[in-house]
Amino acid sequence: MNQILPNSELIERVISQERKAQFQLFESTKRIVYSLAYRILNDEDLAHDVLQDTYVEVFQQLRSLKQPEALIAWMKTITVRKAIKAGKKLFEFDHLDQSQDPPDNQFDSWFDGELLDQAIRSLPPGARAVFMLTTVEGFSHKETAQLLGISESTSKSQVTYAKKLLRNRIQTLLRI
Amino acid sequence: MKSLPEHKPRENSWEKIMEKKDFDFQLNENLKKLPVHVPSDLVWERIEKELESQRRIFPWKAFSIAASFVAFLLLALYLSKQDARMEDPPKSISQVTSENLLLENTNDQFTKSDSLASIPLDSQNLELQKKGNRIMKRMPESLPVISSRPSISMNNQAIVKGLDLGSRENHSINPADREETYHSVAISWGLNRKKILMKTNFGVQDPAVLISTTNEKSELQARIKLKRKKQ
Repeated sequence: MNQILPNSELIERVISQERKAQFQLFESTKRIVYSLAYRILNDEDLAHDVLQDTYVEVFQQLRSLKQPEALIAWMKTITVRKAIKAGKKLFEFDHLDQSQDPPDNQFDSWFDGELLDQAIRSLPPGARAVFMLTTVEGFSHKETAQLLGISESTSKSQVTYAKKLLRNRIQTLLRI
Repeated sequence: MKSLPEHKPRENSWEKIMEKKDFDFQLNENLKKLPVHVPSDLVWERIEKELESQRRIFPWKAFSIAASFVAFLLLALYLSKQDARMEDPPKSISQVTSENLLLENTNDQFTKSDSLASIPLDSQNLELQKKGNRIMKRMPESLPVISSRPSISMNNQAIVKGLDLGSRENHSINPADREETYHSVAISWGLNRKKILMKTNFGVQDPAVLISTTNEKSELQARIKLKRKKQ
């Protein structure tokens, strides 16, 4: 991945609305932003819309960023918010019936990042969003609950549910 | 190569391998190795268009804010001028409306002191009530400047009535009516403000003298005669 982390000088140029600097920042960070949006939404069109909206906001609001070293984390937060807004209708958090959970058997397989990515994108939208925010992006359950408009307990149960589904999906994918 | 010695791994090596096969362990490890998805190359063009359109909107926003501010200032200026016009200091001479005159003329009796007392001060926001409960708001007024002439002592109350202009021509001073004097009061009213709104010439016995001293006939709109009431 050809990723050049933006420095303070580049950020200053972006703040002064220099188009070349904006493009440079876009090129160096677009994969991070798009991958996050795509993984949350599992929809290319929606993810592209989120990508566009995110960069427009980044270029307009960058002067409000106090710590330049927090740029990527700040951009990720904007992306998460935009993605949640774009996929709000898709997210459903059904009551989880424990009797329907898959048996917690011994996991006896090897998998890599590619397979995990496939499995994540096959999760139900609600569970996928919670898993992405908490387990992948490191948001707390409280923050996740606030972002998605759910309770903290729902966030925790959705993560457990997502992990069990992932285990099954990965095993299924390995058998194919 | 065959002579090289063999090394024995640790006893717990298999357990270590199995630990790495654990789902949660693999999950945490592979989350760091998730593949990167590449967006379409067309996205930057869309972003540029969006930025350009926002840049075009912004000057209009600034202009509309400035225009509304200027409009607000003009409105405030206009309103303050209106207020200043309403609060203009009253002229030195009372402004009397036709309704006031009518009311005063219908008074059967009044004395000089009564008439002065009936003139409201500036601080009083007096409302005069007319027949039919119609309320008229008077403009702020001030006491008129009283002539330096010695005040007329009127023992009795005076009668106010319209001046019979026809009789003025043939007027002759009756020795019996020595005490009788004529007073000319010029009052003007209307939308156009005059410098002198009320003018009085008083204290003469011959009404012809009153005519000769009046050079504002065109502005004169009413005359009244004050006559001492005979005992």
